[in-house]
Amino acid sequence: MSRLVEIDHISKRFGKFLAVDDVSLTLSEGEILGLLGANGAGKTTLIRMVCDLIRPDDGQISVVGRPGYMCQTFSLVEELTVHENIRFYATLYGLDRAGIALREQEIVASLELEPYMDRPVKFLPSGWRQSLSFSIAVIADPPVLILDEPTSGLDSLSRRRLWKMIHTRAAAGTGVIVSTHYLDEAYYCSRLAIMNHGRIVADGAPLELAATQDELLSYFR
Amino acid sequence: MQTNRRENIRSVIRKEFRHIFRDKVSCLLLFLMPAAILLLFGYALSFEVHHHNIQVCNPGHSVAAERLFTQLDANPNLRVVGRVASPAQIGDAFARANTRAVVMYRDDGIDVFVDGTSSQLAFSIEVRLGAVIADFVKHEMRMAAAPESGLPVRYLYNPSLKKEYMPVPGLVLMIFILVSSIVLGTSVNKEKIQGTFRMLRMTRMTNGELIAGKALPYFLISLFHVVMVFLICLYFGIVIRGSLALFFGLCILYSACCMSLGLLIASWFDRPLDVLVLCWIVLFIPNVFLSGFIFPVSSMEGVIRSIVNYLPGTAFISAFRNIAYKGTGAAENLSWFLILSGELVLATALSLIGFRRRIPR
Amino acid sequence: MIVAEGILKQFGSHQVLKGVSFQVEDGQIVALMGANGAGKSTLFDILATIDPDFEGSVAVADYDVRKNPREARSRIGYVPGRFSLYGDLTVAENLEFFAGAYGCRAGDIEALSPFLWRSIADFSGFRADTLSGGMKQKLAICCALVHNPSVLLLDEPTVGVDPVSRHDMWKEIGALRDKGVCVLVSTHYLDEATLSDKILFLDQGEILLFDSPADIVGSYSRRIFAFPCPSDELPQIEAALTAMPGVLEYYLWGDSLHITVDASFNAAPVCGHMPVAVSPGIEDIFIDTLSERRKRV
Repeated sequence: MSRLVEIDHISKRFGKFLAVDDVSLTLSEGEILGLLGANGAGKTTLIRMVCDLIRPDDGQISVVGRPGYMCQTFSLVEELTVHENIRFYATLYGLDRAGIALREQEIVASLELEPYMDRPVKFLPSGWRQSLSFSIAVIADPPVLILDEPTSGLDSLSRRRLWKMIHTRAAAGTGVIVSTHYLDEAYYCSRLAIMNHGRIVADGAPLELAATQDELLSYFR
Repeated sequence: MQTNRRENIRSVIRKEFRHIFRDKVSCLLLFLMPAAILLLFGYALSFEVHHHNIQVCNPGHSVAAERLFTQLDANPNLRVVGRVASPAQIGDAFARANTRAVVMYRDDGIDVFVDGTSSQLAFSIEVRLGAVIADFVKHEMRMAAAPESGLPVRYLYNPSLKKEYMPVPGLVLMIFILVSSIVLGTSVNKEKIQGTFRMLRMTRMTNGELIAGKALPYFLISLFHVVMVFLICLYFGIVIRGSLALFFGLCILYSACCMSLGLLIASWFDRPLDVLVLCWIVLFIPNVFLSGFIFPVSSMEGVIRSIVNYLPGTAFISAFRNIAYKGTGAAENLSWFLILSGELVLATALSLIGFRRRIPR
Repeated sequence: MIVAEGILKQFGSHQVLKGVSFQVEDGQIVALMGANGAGKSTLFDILATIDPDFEGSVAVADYDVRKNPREARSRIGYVPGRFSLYGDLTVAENLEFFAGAYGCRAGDIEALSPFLWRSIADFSGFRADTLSGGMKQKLAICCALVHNPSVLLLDEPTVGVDPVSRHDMWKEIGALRDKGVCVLVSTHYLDEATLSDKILFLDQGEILLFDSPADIVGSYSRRIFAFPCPSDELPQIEAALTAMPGVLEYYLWGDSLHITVDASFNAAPVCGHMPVAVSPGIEDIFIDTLSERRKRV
């Protein structure tokens, strides 16, 4: 399996605060890498560096293609309708007219969004907003998909719907990096990286690291 | 209960001052912007007391003309910067040395040419030239015909027509709307959208206490600016003719009125942008442009005029001019004070109702 | 104690709460669960006296929320859904301000909230908006506890909060229960729900279940099977399951797949994986109950 992301000894400081401290990680095709850690452990900073939103102070990152990115706030344009949001982002990702129409059809069919198409996104229930945001992140078929706490504040039904979408993507070969605070979601991942104070303290298959959620919690201390 | 109330209000005031001094933008709006307005005003004034450049033309080589020119040059506001050889060259004279006017002495009279591109400047030059020429004519009785300029007008309350008098009430008006309505309104709106309003409702603090505590810091800052304006006026030699107590009473009432209007908007609207836009459209623009500060109220007609008479800004500017410049007392300004107090009471009552509405999520 | 009877709440033509009645005793933790948009936050605002515009009756700590809101408030600690403190004030200043607004002393917090305050006391000089999500929530809870309330209302206090901070919070919630405080807390975490004395399932403004976790599991009658499901086999397994008789619903469960089945189901290998019967958990029941309702609507 080929490597999609290679992170080589990267570090990032904000003033005196060392947010990411000498982290190395890799992501292969079809892999779902779960990023776990306490608030402020450096997950979001690491994710933003992989997306090239901020630059590391030290080290190298190489990523195949341009990653699809979905953040905690879903980054949809609240005032635009579902339809307009899809068009807007599809254009930004460089899809042509025919491509956009095709993609829109697929998204609407798979999410059963038909009745909501002409509704401004801000009136959409949060579970649907998250699914839409996910569909937009993958609109240009990115080889790498990066999700920053995509399930925060969602009920279990919506969370499971999202995880099924993630697994469907991974089955098609996409590499996924996903951060979460739900310990049960750790077991949806094929590999885990646990961060603590900017460092990776554990990296491996979920069941190899910890058989139960309580055991998993011990890595956070 | 009474001590609770005082404690609550005091703790809100302390918190509010922390917000103000920690946020660069609010410091900018509350202190730097009024200071900038006042500074620009001061700068404009020092610009104003400078002289006007004029040129003279004496085609008949008259001796009397030279006496006039000497008197013109002696005036502190005028300076003769050159001579125009013949009447035909007067047009060209304006192109040089920032010349504002040309005075030509003929045997049968005096012609004055003034650059009319800025009506304000033209008016100011006309007044100054007129005074000197009228004086000259009075002494030189030999003159065949009296010149047109220099009507024997005496300006009351502001005898030398100092420009400083004009913008003072307008500046105070702008600063008050900025500090008292706009910044207070947005600050109250912030409590709503960040959810702290909801948290405070759970405590023993009442809406009235919260609002009083939030308004007082801005009130104090407004007062600070009033004192600054007062000092600047003193510096430029503008004296408050009427009672000082009445003058400050007017400022305090107007500031309270502005606050209640800002609160009124903040109580009924939840989105920050709505509050900001409404403050500008409903408060700032009409009060600044229609209150008689930029255009005289008497030039307005019909519906606009009847609205304008009830603007807090109109009441403030009219009463300000009456008290500060004319030195009139409370009785003469009663109607303006009544308008301001009425609006204050009405807006406060409506905003207290508004704050009982559902708190936005 | 919270006594809610027949709460009806409408926003325009939309009925948000459709006759909600329940009771939370002193010294009891009730977890409020439900899909996004089930009406949880609306219910919290009503219980907290913030929203008096509803039908039915609510008494909190024996005070009617509409007749005696001030007395009720003095007994309630409320932490609304999102962070509702002053970001530009420090931790200590926030606490001091809210203590003042309740007419209490900020210094009492050490005794009232020993676990949470200890974990944020070191940050008391930091501006609240520089704290992490977990720290902010802990501060919000401390501010709501500073007047020693007998009823605690927590609206999704653990959203975006890391597992360690969540653990601290639940330790504090447990200690408060032992002191006799009555706690209503909404959450999406099933592990938190199982730490509670009772679970209140709310969906589309109606109560679906209101019972202890053990009784909810005990009275659930459906069978649930599980088998491993590697993500690259997901498409084939999905296809196989839709063709299988008796399968009602399937959903991912970590690295496995759970299926709910009816009587006609016979366990047979799916793409080479043999389904094994498992005992249903609260989450299985939650998913099954909700998807069952969604199908009916």
